Amino acid sequence: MMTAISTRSRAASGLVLALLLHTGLSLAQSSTAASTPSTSSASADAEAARQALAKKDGDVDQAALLKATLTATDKQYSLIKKGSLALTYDLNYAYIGSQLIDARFADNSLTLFSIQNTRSHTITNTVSTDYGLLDNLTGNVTIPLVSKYSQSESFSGLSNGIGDLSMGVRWQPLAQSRDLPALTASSTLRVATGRSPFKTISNQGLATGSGYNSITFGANASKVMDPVAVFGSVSVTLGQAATGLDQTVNGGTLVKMSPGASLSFGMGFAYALSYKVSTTMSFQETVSARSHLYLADGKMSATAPQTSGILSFGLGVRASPKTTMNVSVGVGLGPDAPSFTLGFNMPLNL
Amino acid sequence: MLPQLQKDWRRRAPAARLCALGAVASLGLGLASSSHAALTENLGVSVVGMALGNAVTADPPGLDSIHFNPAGLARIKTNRRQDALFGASIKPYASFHQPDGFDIGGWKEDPLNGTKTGPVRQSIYLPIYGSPTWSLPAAFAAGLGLAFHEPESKWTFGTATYVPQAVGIDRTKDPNDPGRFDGRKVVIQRLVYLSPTAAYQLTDTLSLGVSVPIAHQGFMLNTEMRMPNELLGIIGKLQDAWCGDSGNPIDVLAFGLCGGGKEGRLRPFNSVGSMNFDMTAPMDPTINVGVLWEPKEWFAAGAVYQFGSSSTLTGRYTFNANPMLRKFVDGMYASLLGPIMAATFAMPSSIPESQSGNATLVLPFPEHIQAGIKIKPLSFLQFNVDVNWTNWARWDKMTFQFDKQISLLQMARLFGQGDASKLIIPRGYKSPLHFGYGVDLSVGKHFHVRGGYEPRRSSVPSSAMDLIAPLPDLKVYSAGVGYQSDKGLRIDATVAYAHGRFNLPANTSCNLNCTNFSNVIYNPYAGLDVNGGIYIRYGGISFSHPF
Repeated sequence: MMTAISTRSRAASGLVLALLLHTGLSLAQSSTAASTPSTSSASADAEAARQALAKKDGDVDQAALLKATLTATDKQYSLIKKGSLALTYDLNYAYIGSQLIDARFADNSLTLFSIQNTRSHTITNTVSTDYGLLDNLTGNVTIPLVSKYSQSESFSGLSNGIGDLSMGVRWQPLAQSRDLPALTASSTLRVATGRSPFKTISNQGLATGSGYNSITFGANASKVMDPVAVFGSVSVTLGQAATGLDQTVNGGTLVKMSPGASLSFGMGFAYALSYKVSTTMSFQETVSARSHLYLADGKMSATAPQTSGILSFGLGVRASPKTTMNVSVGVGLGPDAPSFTLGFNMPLNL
Repeated sequence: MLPQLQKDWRRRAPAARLCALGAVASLGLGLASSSHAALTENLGVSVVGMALGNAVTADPPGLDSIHFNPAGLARIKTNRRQDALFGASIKPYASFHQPDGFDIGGWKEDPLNGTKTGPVRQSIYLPIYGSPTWSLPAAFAAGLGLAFHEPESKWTFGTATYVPQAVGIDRTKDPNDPGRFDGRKVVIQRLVYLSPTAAYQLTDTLSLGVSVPIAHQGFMLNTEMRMPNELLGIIGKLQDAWCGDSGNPIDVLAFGLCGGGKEGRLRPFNSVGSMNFDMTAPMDPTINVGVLWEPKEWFAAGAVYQFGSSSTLTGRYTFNANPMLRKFVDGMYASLLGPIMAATFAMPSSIPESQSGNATLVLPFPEHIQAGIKIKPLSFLQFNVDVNWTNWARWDKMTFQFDKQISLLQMARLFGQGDASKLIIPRGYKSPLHFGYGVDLSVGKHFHVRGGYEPRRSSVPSSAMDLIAPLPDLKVYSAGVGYQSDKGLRIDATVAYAHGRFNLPANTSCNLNCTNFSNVIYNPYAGLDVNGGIYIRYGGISFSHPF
């Protein structure tokens, strides 16, 4: 009986947890924002900010963290062992559809009225490498390749590019114990290697990166309670201002963009249906502070704070003891979230 | 019955081989006069391929299979590494001559009459950095290829770095080079930095392969502009007559033709300004699919389809305006009736000295089909023939999209330049077919001597020829040697030479020398006879060994 339980426990944690990785991935992207009908004379400014805030492609640290936490309960520490290497491939699809009403009033009369439709289908191929620096410290490098089909008033077509590279570490301060949940702290640096939304014609939707460097600090907790694993996370992201810009936006020239900080939290659970199949459900919310846009004529404008949420459902199938493939679907909640996302994930070093 | 047929075939084999060879040869001779192709493709891809006129789809050389026919990678049965180094020099030249009766709105002496273009150096595009200001007599590139094969496996995997498309012309050395009005510096470069490839040996004679070349596309264009247009000439003459040497006192009450002073007098042969584009697509994947059939030791056939793409390039543009048009517009707007006239012609109210911003360009990378056969009539002699087709017709026009209205382009509204936030450069390329021929002679057990001939007919019709891409019909001749050791070390070296020329009397190409009234932007040499050509010299060496 004991054996049966422990086998199941490992199955539950292994499968389910890898699923979580995917869920985490979709969650990490929840800050991809889509604008809703809004009436604003500075709609283009808002659009620029929206684009800036939208890009989190390849931000898989949270997901990986969840995976590591949950897949290795039988080790003293849940991260990968010192000196070992893990490669993971992620395929993510996100659809954003938005409608922007651009209206301008001058002297109490409407001088400009237009409805802009923008649509984008984004496929992100991500390869991430995890390396065990210590038994309780894992380094991670993530390279996303972004392909995007966008449709807007001024551009319709496919563009490809490297996304923002990210490098991070995850640290587990306490050894695993039966009573306490597994706790992990993480820190991730995202470098603006992707095509910046501020260095292309605005509103063409060609960006494959955020356009600024940022750093994220996060903490995760997870607990396996057979056949269920519950987990929660919280993180803070700070962005470095993008300077030296020269972008025509709504008649003005954008020279600097200072992104607002964002706070993200999430929770969810995974459930093992059988030795080979598990499901997950999770929720994540991101609240972003105002971003500030500086124009060449000295004017400054700030975007509204944004809040977005995403609800994810995942399914994991263990193809072999070392290979678990995960599929997840995310549904955007609120106007600033992507309409929906679809993700697939598998380890590469079989 | 069947064994009998086989016996017959074997007995007749030498005759059959000779017949096949004869067919190939006559096919080649028959088509040599009507073969076509474009210049920029397949120049720096493969040392061995270059030596064989790029006719290698039926016998793809080692890691170069990734480009020429990914199925060929299945022939590599060990882990193998290949390093290559290329140097290429592309030297276009042109001379300008004024025919009898030359007249651009009353101006009859073009200062470019009797001049010819000066020294040309080679320029490259470095990813992340851009195109460096220094240039070299020849462009150098290095390639690295890796193949991976597990013993007993039918799969071979690989990746390679290579340059499937490149042109880099730098005419900045002589500031008065007459070629500066049609591309002072032009770099179009596609660099494949990663090309994951999988090849599978289906049967003993049939292999399939697919590769995904992921490329960095760089584009740079820097050119000075002049608009030798009849209207400009007529207005200039009118200004001279109306304003005289010291202006006209009643001009302020009229159209303001003298308001710009001496600098604001329109001269059709003066430089109006310059434009500069620097754009990239950092990652642009395509797909190559290939099949290789090797039924006999002396015969093989292969084919590859290289999918194209529409690369979306983004980057910066800068337009600089010289005083002529700026002062002219200022003068008009400082008069009584000038603004009415200017508004009628939709001229801008002022022209800034410099305008810059973000730009987008969709640059198609055309799809390419190549199929070929290899015939080995004697154990030491091999002939290759390939047919090539590239869909250059996709280069119908290049459309640059800017983030604002460009005042210099607004000046051209009168001539049908409707939207000044776009610049459309017409190309009108064709998709010709061309053949390549190669011969490989084994000398002893370890040495090979190779020769190649590739008559490439231009994809640029003479009605669209310009100095930005001066690509006339070309005949590429090449020679190479190879050494192969018993342990699998291969060293190959190739030199190649090509020359082509064009002769464009006035009004031949509306990208160059038309005198059409409405053609202001693309006729920097309006009314001139332009003769020129291009020399290409190429050398490469590659080392390949198991690891």
